[in-house]
Amino acid sequence: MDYAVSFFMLGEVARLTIAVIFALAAFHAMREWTVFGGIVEQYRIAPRWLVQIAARVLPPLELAAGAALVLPMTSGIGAVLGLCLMALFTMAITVNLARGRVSIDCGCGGASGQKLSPGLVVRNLVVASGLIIALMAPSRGEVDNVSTIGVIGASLALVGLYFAANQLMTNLQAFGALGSRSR
Amino acid sequence: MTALFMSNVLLWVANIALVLTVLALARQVGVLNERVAPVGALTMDHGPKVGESAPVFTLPKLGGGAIAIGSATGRSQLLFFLSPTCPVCKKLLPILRSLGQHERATLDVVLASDGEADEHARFYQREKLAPFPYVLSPDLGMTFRISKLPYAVVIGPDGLISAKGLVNNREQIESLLIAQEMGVASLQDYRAKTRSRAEASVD
Repeated sequence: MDYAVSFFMLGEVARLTIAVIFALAAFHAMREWTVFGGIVEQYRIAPRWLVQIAARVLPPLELAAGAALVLPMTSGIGAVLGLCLMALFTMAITVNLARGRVSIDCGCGGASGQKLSPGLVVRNLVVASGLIIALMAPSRGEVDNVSTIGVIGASLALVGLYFAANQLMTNLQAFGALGSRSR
Repeated sequence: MTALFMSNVLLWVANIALVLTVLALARQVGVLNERVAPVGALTMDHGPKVGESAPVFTLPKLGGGAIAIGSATGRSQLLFFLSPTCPVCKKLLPILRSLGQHERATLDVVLASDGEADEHARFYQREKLAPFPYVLSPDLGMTFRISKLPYAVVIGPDGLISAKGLVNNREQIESLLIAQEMGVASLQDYRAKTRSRAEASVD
């Protein structure tokens, strides 16, 4: 197994994983538009007229990035679009962390109850590095059955781990709230 | 080759099953934590109970004037506790608006919050909340022990609390009003009553 093939497989794993994550995030945001508008607004980084547009445009963009990532023809465009979105989200989170507005809902997958934390920035950086791998890895390559199973299996496992990590971060914040309450 | 393929498939199945287990465990810890949370010292007391008379307040309204809350005025009051930073509260505002219109013969919808006055004034302007009385009072929230938003309290025409609870959608707000009409505190209360009635009829 040569270097190019392994790099291609790694790229495929990154593309498939992030495509599923983007699609699920977009699905959650689009299921409750009004709530998502409120979430974008409370980040307080865009003027009000822009907020409504952003809330309408961001979820379809996420969906488009996800769809573009899985197609070999457009995976490069998908990765660049994904990187832009991640940069935007991470900037919004960092700005609000710096302002000390940590108690707002991060809006990761609708109103999830997850608050802002430095962990989110780390999480986004991990996703962004996945996108860089997706961008640099060749988008076409030879695959056999074992590699196909490997790519699909690894992607599903990583998607699961992503949501598990999110849930654990939410739990940790809830424990923090419990601790401060009893003190 | 076949052996390698099969062992790969099996390993991935096992791997994903493990990841799903971790996810489910994390989720369960989260749910457990939500259920355990109200047992903490501060939230032990959930404020005035349904059926008790509501604490009486006279509070200044945003935009001038004052409003009496909790007194027996012959009209029902729906106190809606909200915050400008709560997205779900914002989702419920149009629902409250139509509810207030629809039930205006018997019901007053009052919005309640606390915090910086100018932030709320901006929110009041922007969301066009002028049809509602809007009060800012930390005392009101403390008295009703509001720990989560959006929270609604229905006070009957006699000044007694007829229903209250955390509301996240139209159905939940309506359920509070239905609970008031039927004279039950909550769905749980209703079920308990119908069950005991059914048992009585069996005897």
